[in-house]
Amino acid sequence: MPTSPMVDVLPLSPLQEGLLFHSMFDKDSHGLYVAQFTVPLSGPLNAARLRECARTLLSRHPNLRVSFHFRASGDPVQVVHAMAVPEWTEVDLSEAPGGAEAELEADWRRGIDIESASLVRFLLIREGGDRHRLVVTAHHCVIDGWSMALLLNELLALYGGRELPPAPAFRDYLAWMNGQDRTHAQMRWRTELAGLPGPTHLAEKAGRSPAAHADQEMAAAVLPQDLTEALAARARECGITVNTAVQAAWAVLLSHLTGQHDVVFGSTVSGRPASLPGSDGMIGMLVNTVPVRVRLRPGDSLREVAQEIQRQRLRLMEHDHLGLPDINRAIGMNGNLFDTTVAMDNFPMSDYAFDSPDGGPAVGGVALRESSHYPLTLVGVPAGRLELRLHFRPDVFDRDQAADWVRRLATVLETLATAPGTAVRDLTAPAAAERESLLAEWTGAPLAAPAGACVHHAFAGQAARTPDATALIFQDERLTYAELDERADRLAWYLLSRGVRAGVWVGLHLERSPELVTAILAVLKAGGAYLVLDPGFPTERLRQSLTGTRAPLIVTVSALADRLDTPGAEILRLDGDRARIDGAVPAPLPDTRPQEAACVMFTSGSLGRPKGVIAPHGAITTTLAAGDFALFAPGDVVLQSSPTSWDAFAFELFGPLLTGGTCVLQPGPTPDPAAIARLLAEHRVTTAHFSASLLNFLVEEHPGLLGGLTQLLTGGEAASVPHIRRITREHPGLRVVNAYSPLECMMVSVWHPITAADAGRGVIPLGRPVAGKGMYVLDDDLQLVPPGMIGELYLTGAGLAHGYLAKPAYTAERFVADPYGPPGRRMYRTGDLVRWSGRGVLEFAGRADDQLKLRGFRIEPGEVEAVLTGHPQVAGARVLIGGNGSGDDRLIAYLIPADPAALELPELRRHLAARLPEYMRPSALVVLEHFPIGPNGKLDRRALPAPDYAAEIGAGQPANEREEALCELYAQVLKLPSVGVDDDFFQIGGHSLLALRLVSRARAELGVELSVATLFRHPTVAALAERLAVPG
Amino acid sequence: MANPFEDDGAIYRVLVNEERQYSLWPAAIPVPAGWTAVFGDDSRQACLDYVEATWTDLRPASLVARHGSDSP
Repeated sequence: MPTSPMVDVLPLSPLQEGLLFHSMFDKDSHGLYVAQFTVPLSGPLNAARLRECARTLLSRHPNLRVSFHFRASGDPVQVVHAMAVPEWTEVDLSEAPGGAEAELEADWRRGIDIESASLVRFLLIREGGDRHRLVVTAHHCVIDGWSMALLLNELLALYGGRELPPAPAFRDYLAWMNGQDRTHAQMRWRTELAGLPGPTHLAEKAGRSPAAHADQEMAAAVLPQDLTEALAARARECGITVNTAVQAAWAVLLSHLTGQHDVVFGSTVSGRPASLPGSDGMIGMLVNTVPVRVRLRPGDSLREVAQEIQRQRLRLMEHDHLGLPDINRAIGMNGNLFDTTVAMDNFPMSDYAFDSPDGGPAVGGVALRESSHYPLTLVGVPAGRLELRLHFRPDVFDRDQAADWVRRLATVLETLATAPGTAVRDLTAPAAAERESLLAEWTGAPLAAPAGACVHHAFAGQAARTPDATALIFQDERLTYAELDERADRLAWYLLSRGVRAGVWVGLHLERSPELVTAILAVLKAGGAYLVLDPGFPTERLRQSLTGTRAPLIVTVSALADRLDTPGAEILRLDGDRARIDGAVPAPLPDTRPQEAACVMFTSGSLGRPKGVIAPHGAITTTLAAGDFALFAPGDVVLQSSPTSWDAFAFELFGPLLTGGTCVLQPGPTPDPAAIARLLAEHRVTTAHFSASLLNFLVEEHPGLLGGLTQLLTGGEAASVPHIRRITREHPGLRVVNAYSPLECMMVSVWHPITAADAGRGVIPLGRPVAGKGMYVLDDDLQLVPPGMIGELYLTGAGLAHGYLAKPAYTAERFVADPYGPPGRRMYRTGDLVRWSGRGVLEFAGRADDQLKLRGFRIEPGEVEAVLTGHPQVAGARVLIGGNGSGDDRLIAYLIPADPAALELPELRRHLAARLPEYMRPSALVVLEHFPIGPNGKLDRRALPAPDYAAEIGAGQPANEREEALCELYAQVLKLPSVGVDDDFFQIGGHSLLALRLVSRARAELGVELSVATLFRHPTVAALAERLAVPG
Repeated sequence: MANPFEDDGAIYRVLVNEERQYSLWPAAIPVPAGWTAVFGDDSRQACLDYVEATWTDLRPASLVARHGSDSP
């Protein structure tokens, strides 16, 4: 705050406004946007004289002795103080050699409080002998890096006793800025960025939850001198700058890392307009970061990409004065357009000297340390050997990753220098050897057992080997293999007599029971294929499922028969028609082939109707024969609790029945935690499979339940790290497998045995392919994507379905030609984005199509969930978008507390605020006892309660008219009955869009000028009213 | 990511393999071995319409040959 009379009030440049806003936003972090400039000096030094020069410097440059304030309107201003007394500290470390680094670090850690009046300070460290270090630490809101160099030159000249000409006034720059046609510039930027599909955020692809703040680290590569020269020559020939070459290389890599073909990143520009005299010698904050948008068509050459960047820069250069917020507004972007930037370090680091006849201390190589709010910045340092420095946040990116990237950048630049005609698609393509190994690694082991038996043949073979073993347990009933086989044969003979044969569908309208299992085997033995009609499903849905199969026969029982609405189909009642079935004449069973359809399973379709996936026998038997993701042996007891409409039903049923184990059928249509707990104990179940949601629930509600298991599989959705952590801790001997597959590829396609280390690392991988199956991670041109890069997962090999029942076009667009397999093979495109990790396993990286989008922001709910569950008091979290879709959508977090009594929401909010940008912080935190689970065993979103913002409202009563008016306005904008004076706008449902609404209503209805920045700073009515009461 | 099979503005063709299974295919990408283009180049929708009208039996051709084409 001002400590001396003020002499002038200046507006802020748009760039300063942006920096101020960000600094306020993270106001607890004084280390943001700070630059520390260190100058080694050796030789006799007159410290008092140097200090006097520093004072002269500040008196020459009014814009360095400012503090920032807000008018009542909410507009920020910079107030120039009369007194030019720099903050000057001298530290004598001559008795403590080596202490300078710690002193520098302490100075850096101190940062600069943007609300203070000391935004530039000096530190003189005296080391042994005549050695000193002069440290200038400044907030970027008042000075940029280039100005720091100018500042040093002036300081040296002043020390040398030179008379300096009057400094170019920063005020002239502000006036020049004011004279620019911002509307026109906005239009030009809008034109240039038109059609951009979205922002380019590399950090969110990294899949890690960033810490609140972390010092950046650096990975570097140096181009040899001959290559640097070749690159410079090539740049001249192509009509581009080396800066542009570096940007082109970054664009290529960024595209590959994000899987986006239309990328945008930031470019740091000097912001010193040629049309403003003296601007090149001006000291102040002029630098700007503007977007560079690069479209990379696979066939374009690297030269074309670079030249287009150069042309774009030329088109936009005169509009570089526009700040990022203005550019964002121009294109309707709400949030960060990019999170990586590229800069050229044209900054002189040496060749400084005291400008005086008698000389002065020798000036060593200066060092500049800067903070950046971008998680990754690429800096090109031009010299005899071009150096590439990748500054990255180690909490967001791996060191190995960054080192790999900077090497790749060097390779791209080498290609530009030596073969500029190389097409983009060939630039990052894996080398032949890498390609071979990728294809080999992405293919599961060959099947050990001869693949491709029919399901019923495999069962009959097992029945012959272990006729007296128990095949099925259901309530009090037990069936041996021989009994089950005999019953199935009898029903099959009858089905044959009713015309069932290859290609004929038979509906099975039966509850989970031995009758259902018998009917399944019978249909298969008769050569037909089955569809399970879950009696729990609505009649309409069953009717929709039957359409397309034209099933001539439906097997049911009397009690369920009248729930069917299937005109034209023959109804067979297993109870009512018992005599007829038992009287069926034994007949030879047809010779079914493993390629024949065995069943059709329905999943919700994007077109609003269930879509049926037709699976052949071989898909089931080869998957089970893989013998890797699940281990089955005679004597095993396997629980079957997944809904009968799932492919997991086939897994839990046939897993044991084809290997001599016992299948325990859970009564009831959907997984029932209490029944599961009872059955696991009663029948000494050894293997179970639960969807992730169900497993989490079981772990929370029935601790100890997993104690008797030897093998646990989970899948269907992303595994919850805290729950997995608990399981691996409490059951160290239990084999826990993460099993992944779309229904289209049958049961399990990619699997991973989970270790305690996975749980500790916070990422549960998808793993590697099941034997006999294969996978590819492909980019938008169906090219193989190297490890670490995001691509879409394609599955192939054993397990592939025939397609979608009666949907040939949809089948042809999802099951497509496999460019890497044997001739004529198909692959299924999953729509899942994955990355091949350095540890040799596949990691999930989101959906290609179902990503959350909120007010233009892409949000990975998993990231928010990871931050939530990173809090010790949160046992489970689900984040989704709630609202009516009309702009009132909000991110909502549903939480299971580790200990309901201990969870403090304000503390949790602080935890979130410390780790996530505003737009990723949930508007509401809803605490639940457990997540509701739907009929399919997955999270039932519709059963989640809507957040109750009104319950968050405090009792604070308005103390005056202004507070009363603001309370009323808050309540209206947030659609709440009332609001207390101490309620935080952003914790009772407010978000950036509503903040804008509030600001405009305040203006229209209260005549109050308020900026969104002010609202962010003073989010409660009480604080805001106080703020507004201060006269501007 | 823009999936190459999801671009309504792109040109596609329809491929078929020996099992008479059909695949939508981006015209810009070379046709994999074992597949023959039977329709296109045309719009995505035209290609899908062609598949919808042509591919009446989703079973692999080897099965159809075994059982005849009378089965649904």
